[in-house]
Amino acid sequence: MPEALLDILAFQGGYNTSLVLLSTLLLGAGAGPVGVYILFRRRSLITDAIAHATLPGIALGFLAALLVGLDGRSLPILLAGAALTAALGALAVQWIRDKTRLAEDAAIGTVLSASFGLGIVLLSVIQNLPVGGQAGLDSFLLGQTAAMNAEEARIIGIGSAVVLALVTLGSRAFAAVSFDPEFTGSIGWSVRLIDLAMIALALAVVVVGLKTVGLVLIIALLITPAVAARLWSRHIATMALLAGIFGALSGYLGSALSASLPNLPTGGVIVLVAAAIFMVSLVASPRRGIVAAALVRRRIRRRIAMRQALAALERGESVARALRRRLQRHGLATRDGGLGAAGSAMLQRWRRDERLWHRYIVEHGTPPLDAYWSPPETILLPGVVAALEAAEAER
Amino acid sequence: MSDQPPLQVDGLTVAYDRRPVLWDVSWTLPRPCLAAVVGPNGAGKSTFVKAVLGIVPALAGRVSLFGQPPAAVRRRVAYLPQRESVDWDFPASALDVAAMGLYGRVGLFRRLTRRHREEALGYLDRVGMAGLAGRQIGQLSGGQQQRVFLARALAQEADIFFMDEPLAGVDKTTEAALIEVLRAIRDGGRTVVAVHHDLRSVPDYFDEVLMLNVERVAAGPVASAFTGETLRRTFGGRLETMAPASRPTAAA
Repeated sequence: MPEALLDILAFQGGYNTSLVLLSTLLLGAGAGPVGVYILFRRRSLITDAIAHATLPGIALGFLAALLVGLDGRSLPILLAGAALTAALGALAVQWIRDKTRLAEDAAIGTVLSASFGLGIVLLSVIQNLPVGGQAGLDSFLLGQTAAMNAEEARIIGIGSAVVLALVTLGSRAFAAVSFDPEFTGSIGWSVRLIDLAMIALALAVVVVGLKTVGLVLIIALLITPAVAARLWSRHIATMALLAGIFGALSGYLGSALSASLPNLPTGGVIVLVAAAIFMVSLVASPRRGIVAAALVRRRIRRRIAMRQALAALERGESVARALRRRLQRHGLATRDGGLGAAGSAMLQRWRRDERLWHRYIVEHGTPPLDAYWSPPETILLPGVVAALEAAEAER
Repeated sequence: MSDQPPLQVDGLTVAYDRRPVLWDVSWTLPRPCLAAVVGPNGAGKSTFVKAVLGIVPALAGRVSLFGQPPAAVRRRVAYLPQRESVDWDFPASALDVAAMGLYGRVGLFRRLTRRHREEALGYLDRVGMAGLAGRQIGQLSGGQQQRVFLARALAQEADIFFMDEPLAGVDKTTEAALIEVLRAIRDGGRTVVAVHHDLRSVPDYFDEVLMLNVERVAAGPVASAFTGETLRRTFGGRLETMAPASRPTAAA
C-alpha cells in the first residue's frame, strides 16, 4: 500500500489518478487565497450557506438533464444547477438582511438549513425514481474521486486554474476592501463590485470543489489554509501565497491518500490534511505559535527574576544559587556573587526603561506589545522617547 | 480652476433608515485653508465627511469640489477615515498602508514597482515614520497608526483632504508633528477639512469652522464663528459637563 501511495504522489498512479491529483492540487491552490480574503472580509459564514445551497441545484440539475434526455450524471449540468441555487441562496441571505431587521447570521442560518433540507428531500425523491444513475449523487456531500473520469477532472482542473488566475488578478482590490472599505470607496473603486467579485470567486471554488471535497467540507478547504497562513505571515500578499501553497498541498496529499485508500471520502481526507497543516502551524509559528508564546512568557519571567535578583544584590542580600549562576553566566554578577559594574549598569538601564514605560502608559493608556521588557527606543519613535525622558527629568 | 472654491455644500441631508443624521447643511470654503468640523457625539460629523465624498448616500443636497462634482475630481481628493474604523491586526506593514495612497494613480492591476515603494517611504518620512516602515501595523501605537494613515493620505497628492479625527487618541508629540504636516499642506495652497474633537485647540489650529449638530449651527472663519454663543448653541448642556478649560475664553 505505501508503495502505491508513493507512485500516486509521483504522478505514476495512472493517467486518470494523476489528472485527479493535479485538478485537486489546483483546486486547493485557488481556494487558499480566496479563503484569505473571505476570512478578512468576514464572509466565511455566507460562503458556508452558499455551499449548502448547492444541494438542491445538484438534484434539480439531475432532473433537468433527465427531462431533456441527457445523462443525469453529466458534471457540467450538475455544477450549473449547483451554481444557480447557490447564487439564489446568496441573494436570499442578502434580501432577508436588507428587508427585515434580522441580523446576517440569522439570515444565513435560515437559508443554509432550508436549502440543505430542500436538497436532501429532492435527493430522496430522486432515489425512488425509476431511473438509473442517481447512485453517485450523494457523493457531492462529502466528495468522492474514486469514480471520477478524466473529463470531469479536466473540468475541475481548468475551473480551479481560472479561479486562481482571477483571485491573483484581483488581489489588490480584495486586500484593500478587506482592510479599509471606506478608503477603497473614496478612491473611486466600487466596494460593491469588489465584494460581488469576491463572493463570485468563493461560489466558483464551492462549485468546482463539489465533486472532490463535497459541499459539507468545502468551507474548510477555503478557511483552514488561510488560517494556517495567518500564523506565518505578516503581509496579506504573502499570506495569500502561503494559503495557496497550503491548499495545494492539502489537495495533493489528501487526494493521493484517498486514491490509495479508496473507501475514505476524499473531502474528509483533504480537510484532515489541511487541519494537520494548521495544527503544525499553531505549534510552530515563530510569531503566533504556541511555542513562540511560551518562549515569550519565559523571557518575561526570567527578566523579572533577574531584575529582582540584581536589586537584592544591590541591597547586599543574597540570592538563590541557580539565579546567581544565571547572573554570572550573563556577566551580571561577580564571581563571589556580588553586584558587578555590568550588573549595576544593567539594573539602572532596566529601571530607566520601566520608568519611561510607566510614564508612557500614564500619558497614553494601554502599553504597546513588548512594552516593559523591551527598551522604549526599539518600539517608540525617537521624538516620543525624548519627550518621555524630558518629562521624567522634570519630575 | 484655482479660483473655484475648494468645497461647496448645499442642503446636504442624510438619514439612516428613519433617523435624520444631517439636516439641510450648507457650507462653503471660499479658498484653501485648514477647516474644522466641530460638534458633540452623534452630531453627524463623520457622516458629513462621508456624504461629501459619496461614501454614504445623501437624500438631498449638492456637493461640489473645485466647482465640480466629487466623482469628476476623485484624484484631487484624499480621505483619512477614523482610526478605529479598520482592524489594525490586518497583515500589513506601515509601508503597505502608505502605498495604498498610490492606488488611485497606479490602478487596480498595474504592478507596484520599487519606485512606488520609495515614493511611499518618502511620505512615511514626512510624518516621521520612515524608521518604522517595515513594522507590522498591529504593533504600532495609536499615534504611530495615525501617522501611517496621514502618510497614506499624503501619498494621494490631493488638493483637498478630508480627515476624520486625525488627532484623536494621539500623544502630544504626535499631535504637534501632525499639525505641522497639516499646516504645510495648507501653506502649499491646499485644503484640509478635519473632524475635530478638542475644542481648546480649534482657534490655534484652524482657519475655518463648521459647528454642526445635525443642522449647521454656525460656520465661517474661526474668529467670528467659534464663539461662546455658537458653542452653547451647538453643544447645549453638554458643554457644561466638559472641563472648564475647554471653553474658549478669548473667542467668547
